Amino acid sequence: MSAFCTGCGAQLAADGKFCTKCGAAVVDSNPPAAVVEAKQAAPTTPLAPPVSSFGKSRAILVAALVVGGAILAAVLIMIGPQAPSSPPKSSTAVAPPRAAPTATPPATMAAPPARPATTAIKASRWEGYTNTRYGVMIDYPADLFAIQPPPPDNAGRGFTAATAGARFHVYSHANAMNFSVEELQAEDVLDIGDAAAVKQNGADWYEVIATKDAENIVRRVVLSEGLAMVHRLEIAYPKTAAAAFEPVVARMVKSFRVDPAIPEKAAANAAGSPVPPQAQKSATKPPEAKKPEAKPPEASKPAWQRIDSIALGMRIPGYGGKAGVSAEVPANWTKSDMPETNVIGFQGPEATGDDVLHVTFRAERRGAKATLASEAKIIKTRLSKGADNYRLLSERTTQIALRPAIVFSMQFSGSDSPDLLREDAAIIDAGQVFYFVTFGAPQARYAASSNIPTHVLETIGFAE
Amino acid sequence: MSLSMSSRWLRWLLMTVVMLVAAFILLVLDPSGALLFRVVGLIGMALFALSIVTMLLTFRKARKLSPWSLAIGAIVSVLCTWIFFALAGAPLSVAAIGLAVAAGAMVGVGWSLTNLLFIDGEAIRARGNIWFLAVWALSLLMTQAATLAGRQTPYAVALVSFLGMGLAVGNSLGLLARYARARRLLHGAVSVPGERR
Repeated sequence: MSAFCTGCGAQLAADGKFCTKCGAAVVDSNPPAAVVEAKQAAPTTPLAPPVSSFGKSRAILVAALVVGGAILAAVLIMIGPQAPSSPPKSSTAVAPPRAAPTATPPATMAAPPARPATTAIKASRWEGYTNTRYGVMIDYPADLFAIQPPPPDNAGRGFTAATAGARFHVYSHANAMNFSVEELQAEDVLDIGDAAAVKQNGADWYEVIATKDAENIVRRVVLSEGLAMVHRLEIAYPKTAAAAFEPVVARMVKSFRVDPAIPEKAAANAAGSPVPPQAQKSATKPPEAKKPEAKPPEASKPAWQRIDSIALGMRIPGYGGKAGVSAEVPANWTKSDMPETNVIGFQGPEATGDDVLHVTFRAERRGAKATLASEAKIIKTRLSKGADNYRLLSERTTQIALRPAIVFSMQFSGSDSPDLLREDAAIIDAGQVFYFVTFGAPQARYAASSNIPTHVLETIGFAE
Repeated sequence: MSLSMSSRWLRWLLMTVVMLVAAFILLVLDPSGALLFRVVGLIGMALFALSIVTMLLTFRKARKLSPWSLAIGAIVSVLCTWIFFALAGAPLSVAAIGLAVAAGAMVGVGWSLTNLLFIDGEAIRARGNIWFLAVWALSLLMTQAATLAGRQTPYAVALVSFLGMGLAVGNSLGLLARYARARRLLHGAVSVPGERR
């Protein structure tokens, strides 16, 4: 036997078959007497030389195990997260539903589990719900769904069928970012997370039918006033009771409609003045004003607070001109500590788990060759390089407070957490100053809180 | 000729100290930890690429099987996965977790069967062949494809993690079983090299 390995030259053990340094087989003039495992009939039987390839039976067994495992894994991926799952325990976990939510739409993902719905459901007493603020109407079975307390801003209402494990809500908001029907629909599909969702749309409406966990979700959205107002209906019901719910859901979806004349009538009634002639007609054409002018007075305390960056001490270092922004943020949000003097931020209360939602206002002096597009590119590049799973969801040029602006939505996750985050950013060109307004939220909570960035941009103003 | 125990331990200790110091420096530079995790991610990508190259170069070479290494590998995989999802919460049902682990274990056991075991003196060694490489490549593709197809949602990430855990456990248990059988052959009345009967 060779004393040294022919592969690496290391000295070999006296009776070794392999080099202990590099693992190469030892070349030996004497016939090797290596052992093949598990096939010995008797201890005294001479050992067979090593085999260099598989026996047929072993190959079949390996192929069966590997292919079987691969098929099972593929099935698990394809069926997706439809199996009941345990709730996430991260710090960004969704807060449980509150009886009187400050945000207008009830959280779609936070429905409390009910006992499984029986095959038959009772839906015989149909009533109508009308939202007087935005003119949204829908028929619903009142013996199945119980109406929930109204939100402070009266922009919608939630209904639950606890015993049947279903719920629905209607709510309205302005389309402040001027998204198209297709863009809004794509956002909804992304929010639900069902790539196989059935989608339909028209000039001023769209529908998404999807599944999420153990529920079927139907979203019907109608846009009015020249796509300036968005009116949403979302119905969620257990998949196991789909056959019983489908005719009920179909009737509810069909009855979902908007009459912009209703808010004007409500305002006129509240003011005590005669109903204007236009308000008596049915809504065949959009009203002249771009935003709804007549709104009933808020019955409860305001849900928003006006913030003024100048009063809060925001200033641009080295800039002597006037720079300030004013807007409305949720009333129960608090100012965050920011290290920079040209940034002010607000976040939701920690007690309710809303501290994961935040809005920041930043003012920058305009650079020599800076444009809206170049500033937007800086933000997008920084995030795409610094964050994981970065996706630019939408981008559009528009006007905010009569100033040119660019708004875009992004989705990403941090390098230390797989949770998807959503950030809406608006860059406003105010001449010598650029204002950056960003709204951030976990993607899972975005739909329920999307009225916040809309309201902020609706109510924003800049120092002249 | 292997290194002496003390010099090997010293080398590992030195590497550990260097890594800790580097991590500390990165944390000083960026207290949020983003830089540290970014560097760790880059190193991970490099190690992943190197592991592929290493596998391609060494899969046919015989390696000594150690039951402790096999068992510790499986235990570490189970512990890491279990602790991570105990803290983060697994968006999978118990049934889905069980099926994912079973799927991974099936592939892992099949992979373990592709090793050819040899008795070399008192040691039991294993070496791979083209089937070993094929199953390894398939398992790698399977986990990567599962992550991509699942769009990196929390569900897909959890599924792939449990698949990987099952793969590690299945491979370790399969090799342990074969190792035990080989040990019985080793200590039975079998011929050893050079012995004449």
